[in-house]
Amino acid sequence: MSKSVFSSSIQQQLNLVLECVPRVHRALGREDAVLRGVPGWSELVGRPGRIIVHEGRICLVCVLFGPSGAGKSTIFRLLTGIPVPAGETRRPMTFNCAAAVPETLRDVLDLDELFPSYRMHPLMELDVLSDRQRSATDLFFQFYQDQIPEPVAESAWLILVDVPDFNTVEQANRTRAEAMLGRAETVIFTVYPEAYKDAAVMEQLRAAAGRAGHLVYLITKLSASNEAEAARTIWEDVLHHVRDAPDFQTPRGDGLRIGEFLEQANVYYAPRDISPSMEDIRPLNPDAPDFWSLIKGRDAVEVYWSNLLGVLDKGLIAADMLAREASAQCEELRRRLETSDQRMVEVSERIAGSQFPAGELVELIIAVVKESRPGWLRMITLPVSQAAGMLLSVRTLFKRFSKTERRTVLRDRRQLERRRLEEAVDVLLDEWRRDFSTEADLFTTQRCREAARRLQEHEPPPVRDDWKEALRADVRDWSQRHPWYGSLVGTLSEMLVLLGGAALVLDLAVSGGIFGAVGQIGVAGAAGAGSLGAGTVLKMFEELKLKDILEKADAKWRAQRRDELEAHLREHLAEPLFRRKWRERIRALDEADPEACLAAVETIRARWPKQRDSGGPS
Amino acid sequence: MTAPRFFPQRITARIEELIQEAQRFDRLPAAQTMALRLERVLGVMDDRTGLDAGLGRPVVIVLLGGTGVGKSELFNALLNKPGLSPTSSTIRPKTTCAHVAVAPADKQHLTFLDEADVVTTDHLLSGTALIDAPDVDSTESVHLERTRRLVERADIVVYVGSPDKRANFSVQEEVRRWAARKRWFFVLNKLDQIPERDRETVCADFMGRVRELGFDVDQDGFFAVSAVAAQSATQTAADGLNERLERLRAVLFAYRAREQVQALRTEDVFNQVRHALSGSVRQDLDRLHRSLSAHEQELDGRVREVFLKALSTPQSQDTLRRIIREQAWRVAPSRVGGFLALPVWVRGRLAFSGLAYHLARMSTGGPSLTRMLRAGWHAAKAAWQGILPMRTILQGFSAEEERRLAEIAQDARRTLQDLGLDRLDGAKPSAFDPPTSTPEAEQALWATRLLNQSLNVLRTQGVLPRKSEHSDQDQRTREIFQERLEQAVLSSAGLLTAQRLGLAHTLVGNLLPFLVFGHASVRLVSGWLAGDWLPFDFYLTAVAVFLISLVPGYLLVSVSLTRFGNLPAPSQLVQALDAPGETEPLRRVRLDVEGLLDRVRDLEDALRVSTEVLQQELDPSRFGAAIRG
Repeated sequence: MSKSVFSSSIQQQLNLVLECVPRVHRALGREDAVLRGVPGWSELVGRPGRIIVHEGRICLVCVLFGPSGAGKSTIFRLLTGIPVPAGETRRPMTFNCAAAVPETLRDVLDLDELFPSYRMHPLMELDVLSDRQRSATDLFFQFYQDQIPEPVAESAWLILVDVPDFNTVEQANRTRAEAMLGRAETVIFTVYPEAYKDAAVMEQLRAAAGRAGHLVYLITKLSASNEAEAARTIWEDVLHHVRDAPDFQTPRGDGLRIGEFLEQANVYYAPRDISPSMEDIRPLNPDAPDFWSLIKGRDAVEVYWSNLLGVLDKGLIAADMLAREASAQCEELRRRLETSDQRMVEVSERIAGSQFPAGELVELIIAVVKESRPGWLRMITLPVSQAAGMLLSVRTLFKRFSKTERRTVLRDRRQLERRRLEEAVDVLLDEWRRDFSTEADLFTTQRCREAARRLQEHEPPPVRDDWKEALRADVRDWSQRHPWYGSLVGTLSEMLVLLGGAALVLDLAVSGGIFGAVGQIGVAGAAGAGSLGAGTVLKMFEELKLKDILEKADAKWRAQRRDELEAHLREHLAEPLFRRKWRERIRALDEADPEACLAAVETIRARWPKQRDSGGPS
Repeated sequence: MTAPRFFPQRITARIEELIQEAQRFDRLPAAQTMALRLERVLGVMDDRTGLDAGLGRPVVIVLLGGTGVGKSELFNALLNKPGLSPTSSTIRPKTTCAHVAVAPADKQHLTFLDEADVVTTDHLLSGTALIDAPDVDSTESVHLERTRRLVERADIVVYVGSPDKRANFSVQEEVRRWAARKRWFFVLNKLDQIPERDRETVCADFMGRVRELGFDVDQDGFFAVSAVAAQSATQTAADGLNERLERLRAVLFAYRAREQVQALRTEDVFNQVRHALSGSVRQDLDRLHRSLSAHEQELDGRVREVFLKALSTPQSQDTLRRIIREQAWRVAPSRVGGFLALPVWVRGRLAFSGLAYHLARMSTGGPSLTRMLRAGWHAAKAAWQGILPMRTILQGFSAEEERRLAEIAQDARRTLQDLGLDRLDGAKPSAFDPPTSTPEAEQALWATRLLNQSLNVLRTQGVLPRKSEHSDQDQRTREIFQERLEQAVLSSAGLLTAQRLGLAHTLVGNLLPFLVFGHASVRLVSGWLAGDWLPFDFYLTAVAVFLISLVPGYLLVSVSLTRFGNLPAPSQLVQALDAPGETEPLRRVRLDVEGLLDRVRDLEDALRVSTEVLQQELDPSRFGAAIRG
């Protein structure tokens, strides 16, 4: 058995697509079963990987397709002599596909290769075709002797397939019939006068004509006295519809429009007959050859390539769309991550801007000034600072034992921040719920509450001293330029401690809760907005010629704290709630590599016409 | 003639109410579908009840089937007028608009036909209008629309099938769509195409499908005919096909009493209403209701947990115990009688005795600043001992619990959002709903939030008075709960006294005072009788001794009541909290949905009973088969 393959580069690209698309599909989070339903895809998959040729003749699959009651099985019987169940008594009659393979191919043909997506069973008992419990992937085959050996030079081996109908209440039949239609290179579309204009029949005719390499339209069960006339009328009516309907104007894989392809179709007709015979099937066009020899006599290569073009075209369109969808989704997820980050930054900035540890800044100034104070001054103030230190330690000792800490809240910046963080989480969650309303199941009430609770379990991040370190040089500079102020602050510090002034300073530090109420505008903005606390602090610092340092400190503090808080929110709130899932999805999509799939499709498209011209088996 | 009511006004009114109710749920697809369907039914009814109450309207029979099954042939054959409705053995679909055969006198009643383009033919039998409808399965979708409009207004539908097309999916679906709403006859046409020996099987197959759709059809409702064979000159009478066509004709054009036609139409409307209320609409509403209830219960449970926690602290328990004891003293006088009641009564009002004393002092000695201050102090003390502690318990929520409650309220809001029902809740939109696009607005929003937040911090620490801290709903929940708590306390105090104080207390406690009183009385009376005046000291002593004799009884009562009281279990108290303010929006929506469901159920019940009565009146062999159950 000789083999004939596509050009290796196309085959390679095609394999790439075949391998890539299921991966992309899975990465999109869909079931594999859904992929089978994607139009055009299962046909591409169900195609054998190479052209199967025996004695120089291609193996073609010819399917008898049509609505219930059109007599598909009857024709099948006539053509192959295999007595599949047929007749009027039951509707539908056929539930499983039956393939008739020419006797000549008995030992040479690998049927599994011809029908890759089916499980092949030899047809032993005919009743099995009416068994509705069978799996949809079962295909029953028998070998047949051609009933009417023709003198016509055959160019192909015809594997004739009888399929169930597509329009009865048996929905399973429909999918089976459509799947086999996708595999077939040649279609005998069988209708009868009552049903040819059914919406469902026309829809299937469009699908068949969109793909088939060769299509024969067969009208059965004509009961009028002038059958030829009736058949002609029907065919003209069909063509009339085809010309008008927009559905039939889409191009096929080989460039013809579906309507144009149908106009070239050969039409045959048969009268209503209880025991029909081959002679009853007559062509509408008197010059045409008889039914069977027409089907067998077609240029197999042309039929094969025409069909393959159609299938490939549809399959590639499906692959293309899937890959594009995956890229779009990836893009969308990235955009969403950015949006969510943006929200977190905003919120963190507000929290950071709503507080300013002025006390720490003052402590820093004091520390720096103390370092750079002349030794004699240090000697003089030493006893005072010692006393202050003792007093402070006594105070802390007392505090430890006293049960109720008086107004400790005013000092606890962390607690304040924690509360604001809780508030911020609610705001954030509401915003996210609004932003990503399409992902409702990620942001359900339960999940949101759970995430908020988990965040509360984690302490807000500690403040690093970076922002203070960055200021040290500035403060030193200042103390050298204004030694008088410097020594004043330095000397005053101990006095302040003695008088409980340290507490005052600390109080100011956490009163950020009030002056920072205006959000991210910082100390200067807060002072401008009329905040008493901020105004006082600003004025005090201004008098000490420290305003620049204060503003710089404020900016530094806000920037640093914002980053810290954002990282905290991201790690403990956004990550478990949705970010991890989205990142996984993005990774899955990236790994599936839709871009490569797109590129492969493009390559195949670019090279395909050349391949077609060189023509089939090479 | 006074026309009898065609349709019970009561039910119409109910339907209208239901429509209004359903339309309020503008975000609920199920409710909207229901409203639309019901409106359609009312529209159909208006056609019928308008003017002369539709009584003169003929029975409308529509032929329904796929293209090519021979509806027009059958139509012509039934009317015995070949070519009346154009037929074709080849061209599909042939009939593009409805053909109506109606007696001239009846024509005026078929007002609904004006809207569809139809061809009207006269025929002689008044009281019946036969309509040959376009197909339902061809490529011309406009045919389907036309047919559906006709079927909707038909009284009886004749499903026409053919042997070849008997299993057609789209036709079967169309029949299924109308199955529950109409009365049906079933015709298998073109039987002449089938060889004699197969006919039985084919008919059985056809009937099997009809039964699968849910019809109880016997031979009365099923006709296997061949319209062509009956028409053609070479009648194969031997087939019996012709006779069956005759029988079909007789059934369709049978005389039907006016009352029965009325019943038929009433049943039809009932069925349409039932259809409007049935299926996915009901299931969706039910599912929604269930999920709302589940969420509400869960959140209510969480509210209760918070309150339970607040009540379970030793501090609250202690306060509660004190309140109950105080209440028990106030109830006690009713349980002890005689002289003992006096000190017990006084004890019950002990809290106010100081106040009373100082008021009395002021009224006799004139007001002064110190007296006023003292009176005020005692008044405050009395109030504190009274109901104020209850508030203390409830105000004693920690910041943690406050936040829990706020969270629950937020969860309720979010749950509604999840279900897409947040607009259904009539409450004002939440603070975050309006677009906060301008930075100023956003800043202002944050400013208020943060200000509130920081004020809250101060309040929880006792720096600022805790007053407007809770949102309205919190406050409401608390008020409700306080009310419940008071009731519970009262009842448990009553229970306590009833258990602890009995007849024994009265007897034992009154024994000594009674003896003293008796003794003093005897002395007094005997003194009077003897005629000598008892000294003043005697009276003083007698009163003093009497008062002292009350003390043991009082102590007894006091001991009984002071023994460790049986507190009502906090979990039991919390159970009373069945409608907290936090879940108010959820509950409101749930009640709305429940109301709608109740109405639907009411209407269904009413219809079911009426339909059963009607069905007994209508003979299937003349009015067609109805679907089972």
